[in-house]
Amino acid sequence: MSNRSKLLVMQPRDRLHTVLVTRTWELADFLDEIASAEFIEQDTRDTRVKSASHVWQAKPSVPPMLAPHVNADHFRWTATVRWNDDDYESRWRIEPHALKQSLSCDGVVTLSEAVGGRATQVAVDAKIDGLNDQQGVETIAYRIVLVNWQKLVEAAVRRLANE
Amino acid sequence: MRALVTGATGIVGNNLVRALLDDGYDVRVLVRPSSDNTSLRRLPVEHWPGDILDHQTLVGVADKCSFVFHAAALFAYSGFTQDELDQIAVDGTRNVITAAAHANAERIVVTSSTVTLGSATTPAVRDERDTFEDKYPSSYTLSKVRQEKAAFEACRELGLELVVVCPGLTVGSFDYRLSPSNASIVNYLNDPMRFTFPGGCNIVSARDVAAGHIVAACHGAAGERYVVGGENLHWRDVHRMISALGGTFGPTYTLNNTSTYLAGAAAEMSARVMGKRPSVTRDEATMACHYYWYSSDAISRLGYAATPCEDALAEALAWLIHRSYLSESVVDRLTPDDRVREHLQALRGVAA
Repeated sequence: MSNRSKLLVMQPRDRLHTVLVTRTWELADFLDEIASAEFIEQDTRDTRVKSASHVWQAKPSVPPMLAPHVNADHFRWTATVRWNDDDYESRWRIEPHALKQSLSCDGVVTLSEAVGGRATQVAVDAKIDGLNDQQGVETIAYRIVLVNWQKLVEAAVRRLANE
Repeated sequence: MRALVTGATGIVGNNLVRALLDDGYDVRVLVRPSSDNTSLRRLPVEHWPGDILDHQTLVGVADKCSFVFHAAALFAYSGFTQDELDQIAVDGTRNVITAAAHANAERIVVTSSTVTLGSATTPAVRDERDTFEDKYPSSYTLSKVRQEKAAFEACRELGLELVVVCPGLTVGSFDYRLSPSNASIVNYLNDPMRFTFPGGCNIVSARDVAAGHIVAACHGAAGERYVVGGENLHWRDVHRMISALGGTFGPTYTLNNTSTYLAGAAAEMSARVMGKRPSVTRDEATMACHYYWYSSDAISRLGYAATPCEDALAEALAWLIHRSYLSESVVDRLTPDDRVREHLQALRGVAA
């Protein structure tokens, strides 16, 4: 499994960038598998580099009989994203609440102009540590992270299309 | 995002389909009902039956497609008249462009060839600014030149953005019909004398050509041509690499221009007597004495990076062995190096 994914979306880079930087938590409404996204804090002291943290809560899709045994933290994570306006790049870090001590997941999202400025190519690079080289688990984890980034970007595009 | 690919069963189109799927695109392929679809088996693509020469079958083919990649072509140096080649290259391209324009596609990427930038009799590197001035072009070369001209005219008329990709000599996997480029490797290894030629070529991996199409679609400037190539090498160095990868002897002797041409003529004559397709033609022989060297600098500035030629040839050789394009007697005398073996293992794994 590659730890990089690319996606091309038909929205200009500046518009997409603005939504991803300033409206991330509002995208929860556009994501079927997300129950909520709660804004925690942001740092905008530097006008070019902004960071924000959100707590995301996924909708648990477990059989009802297992539900009582599942901790809500299994479906909750904190995402911290630091955007740099100069190079349209963000460094992000995800901390799952259930495995806070053992697992680290971070990476970079880069937005590049495409199709003569009418589209944006989104490249997501992910790095996951703490899975002790369990290749099968690692593959699934990368897939979850990259697919979720893809869904977030697609949600941003849908939101822009509705504006 | 959805992309339409024509020519998806050919070496360029098939590698392109795979690259688009890897990049997360939804892919629709236009395939003739009579086409052998082995190369598309197990690929999650939407099939659209149609023919680029039958414009009625193209109505709606590009609907909801942001990009249209027109890779369908007749790549042959024998067996077809100039009219037949032109019909596919010119009429077919116009039909696809019309369908793309009616569907409001963002842009169309047309697969051309570096041969449209001309060749040189000396080791000179050409690029997108060079014009075609070859004195005795092959029918195939002429058809590609005419295709480009028709594509630019049609896109200008219909207001569609066009980017033209000019691949070098494309070698590699997923070539189910043995294209003339991969066939040049077969011909060299089948030749008991292992002769080589005086000119040079630009060898590029089919995977890189596919990646180059996507780079051109996403980041290329509308109305531009982009060379998507690899290394510029003398034929003797290409053949030396093939021999080393196959663990066999050669090249032995560099034919001069006249003897290369005569070898092509002899192959054509013998094929005519035997009722078979010639392994090499006079056109190809003439081309082998020229330098088809090109610079990929323009597309490299957009993010394209070529695989080293030796790696491209290793994958191609593995494919040719895997698909039995090389006779058993030739394969028995090869001792493929580790890179070829690795590719072979991967291919056998996929087949299993």
